[in-house]
Amino acid sequence: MPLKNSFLFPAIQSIHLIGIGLFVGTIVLSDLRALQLVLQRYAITEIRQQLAPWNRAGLAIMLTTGPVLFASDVPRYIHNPAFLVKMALLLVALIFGRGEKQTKLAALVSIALWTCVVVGGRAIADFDIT
Amino acid sequence: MSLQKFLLESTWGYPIIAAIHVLGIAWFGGMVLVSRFIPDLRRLRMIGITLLLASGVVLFWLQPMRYYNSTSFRVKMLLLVVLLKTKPASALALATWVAIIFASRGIAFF
Repeated sequence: MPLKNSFLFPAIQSIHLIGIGLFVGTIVLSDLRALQLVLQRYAITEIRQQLAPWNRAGLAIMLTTGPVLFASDVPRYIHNPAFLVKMALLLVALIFGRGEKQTKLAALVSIALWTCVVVGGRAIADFDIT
Repeated sequence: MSLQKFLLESTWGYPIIAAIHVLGIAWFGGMVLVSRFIPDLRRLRMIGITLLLASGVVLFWLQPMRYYNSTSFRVKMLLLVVLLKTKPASALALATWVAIIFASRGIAFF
């Protein structure tokens, strides 16, 4: 039975969602700290250091579940406009996030980018071309 | 046009509310993780729970019969009660959060 039709597909999607929680959650938390909206009592370097292993775990989950989900139904995804927009935004967000985000504007842009990636991912189910 | 009809028929209404729900998951998950090394995050957790409950209520209200009839949804609600009563910095809290995510995905199936 192909993956896209088996119960494994929603299971892998759930793991994908957990990865979002870890990966995007740690990024947004770090950005909100950079904007001095949360956890102001703690040094930003200490927060980043503590979050780093969870961020890496989240990234590892995304880099495995993402391609597996994509490969399970390539025609569906390459014809889905939400997926294409999401992948473009994901690329921008990953490149943008590579350096140390120094300014508050950078933190704001990061939050906006990742929010759009999440919205794009959620919209895939609503933009399937059947 | 009622708000309910507008959200259901607009292209972006439902995906945005659902995405807020997912971002709430990321927020709350992040809080559960951070609780392990930073004490007293009650206020921040409340923000996450508020986001999740607000978007969750809207999602339910848009398709009440679908969720009411879903066993997976009822399991999810039970797990949510468990999570809210669990110590945030514990392994049980993290495990319950993971279980809730699987139960949420299961709504589409049962």
